[in-house]
Amino acid sequence: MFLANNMLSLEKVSMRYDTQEVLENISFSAGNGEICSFIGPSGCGKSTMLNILAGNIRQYTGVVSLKGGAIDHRAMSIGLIAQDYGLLPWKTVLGNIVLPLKIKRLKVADYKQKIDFAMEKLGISQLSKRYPNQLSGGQKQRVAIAKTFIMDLNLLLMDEPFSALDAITREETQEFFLDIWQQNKPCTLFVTHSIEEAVFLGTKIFIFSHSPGKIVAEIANPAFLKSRADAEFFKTCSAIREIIQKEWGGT
Amino acid sequence: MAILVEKLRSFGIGLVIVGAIWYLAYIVIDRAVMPNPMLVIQSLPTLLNHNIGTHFMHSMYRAFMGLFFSMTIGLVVGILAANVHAAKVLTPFLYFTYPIPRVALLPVIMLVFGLGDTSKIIMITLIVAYPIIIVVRDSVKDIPKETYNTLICLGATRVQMFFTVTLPWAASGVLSAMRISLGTAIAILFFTETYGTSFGMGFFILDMWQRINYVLMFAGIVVLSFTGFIIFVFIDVLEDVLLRWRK
Ligand SMILES: Nc1ncnc2c1ncn2[C@@H]1O[C@H](COP(=O)(O)OP(=O)(O)OP(=O)(O)O)[C@@H](O)[C@H]1O
Ligand SMILES: [Mg+2]
Repeated sequence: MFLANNMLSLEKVSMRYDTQEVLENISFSAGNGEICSFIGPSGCGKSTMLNILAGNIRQYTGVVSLKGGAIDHRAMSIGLIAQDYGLLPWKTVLGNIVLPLKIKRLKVADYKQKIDFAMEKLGISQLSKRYPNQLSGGQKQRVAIAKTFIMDLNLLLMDEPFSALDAITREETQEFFLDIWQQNKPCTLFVTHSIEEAVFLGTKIFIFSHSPGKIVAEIANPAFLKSRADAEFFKTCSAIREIIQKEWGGT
Repeated sequence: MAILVEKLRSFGIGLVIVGAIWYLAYIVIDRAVMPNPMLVIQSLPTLLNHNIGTHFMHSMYRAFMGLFFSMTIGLVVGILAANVHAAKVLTPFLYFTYPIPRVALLPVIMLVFGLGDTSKIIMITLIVAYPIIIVVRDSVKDIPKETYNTLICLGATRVQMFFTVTLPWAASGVLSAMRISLGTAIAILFFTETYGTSFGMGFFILDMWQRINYVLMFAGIVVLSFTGFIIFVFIDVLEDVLLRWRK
């Protein structure tokens, strides 16, 4: 069962900074074709979990596996849209977007069409020669998205990837994400503070507790990709809101 | 181009301020050793009769070579010193040798490398490289860990991380350090040119002093300052091109 293609599994993953417990016994698994939405209070350890999977944090306990073995970041393609966008300030927009290709020693020319398409769709074509500190937060976020979606991925980690976008751009960008995602449907973990977004984009929804973060609910989402006007969509959002009110104590 | 116009303007303003202070000093001191700045400016064209071009080019060459080697060594050793393993050897070495008055080693350097340009360039490098090493080391140590996150996630090799993050970051430290060290570099240049050469602005200034030609001595000081100014502008332009991302 664990050998299914690109199956990701976490077993009793816990993590602590010196004195503070940040994650407590996180266990779940997900495979191709799944988008797991994560909702949790600020500071509960969502980014920490993604950073463990991204290889940026090593001092955790428990077992993390992808394709039945430890995650091999060099051999596999793992996309990370970091909460701070993860752009290098001394590289231009285009330089940042092609960076993953260069690191993986892929020919940039082979991906030219994909790059142009993504930049066009995300409305950042005009910005390609700018440096990150000449961009707005939302523009940086879209660069981070473009950069991550150029390669085919085994695992996609997204930390509040649409948070800095205005309402219209946000919906367009979500559409773009879904278009790209549906080509290969890589296993995706998606952190968000928006219940609607979690329901719209998640095949499964996980709810975290206050710090130290534990999974308090796992919901198979019947409303995945359903219109926001759909009754099922509304029902699922209400159910989640109820769980949150109970678990987070009214906030 | 706009940057050069800007530099020229600030050069002009600086010239007026320094001229005013100098004129005041001329009035107050009232001795031959402090000549009228107007006189000195008028004498500038006569410098051409004293082979000033050759002196100037010699000084420029030594200064640029010295700064080039300081920069290269500062970058390499500074990055190494930021590495925990290399630091075990390098840090004690740097701390131990930093307070040594390296200017005092001039006789040794001259004995080993001769009286020519080599020993002068080594002397400048020996002194200017140190602050650059320290600045580069500190700036590399200050690289936020998160800067590497995207690369780690992509499974980048250490070499890739070095060239993608560490080196560009350190390079920005080098330029700021160079700017700070420039004054020292010019002072050392002057010092080394007062021995074992008959070319260079340092030699020219000393020569005029000994001939009690204070007007031309000051004209030489003006030219040496101008040498420094050109290098300063050069660093600025370099920074403008290489560190455009900072603005
Ligand atoms: N380097 C660190 N040293 C010590 N504690 C840290 C460090 N980084 C994060 N923390 C703590 O770990 C906890 C989890 O942080 P994390 O960034 O994972 O939260 P989060 O769920 O992503 O929050 P948000 O929704 O605000 O992004 C927080 O309480 C934070 O204060
Ligand atoms: Mg976070």
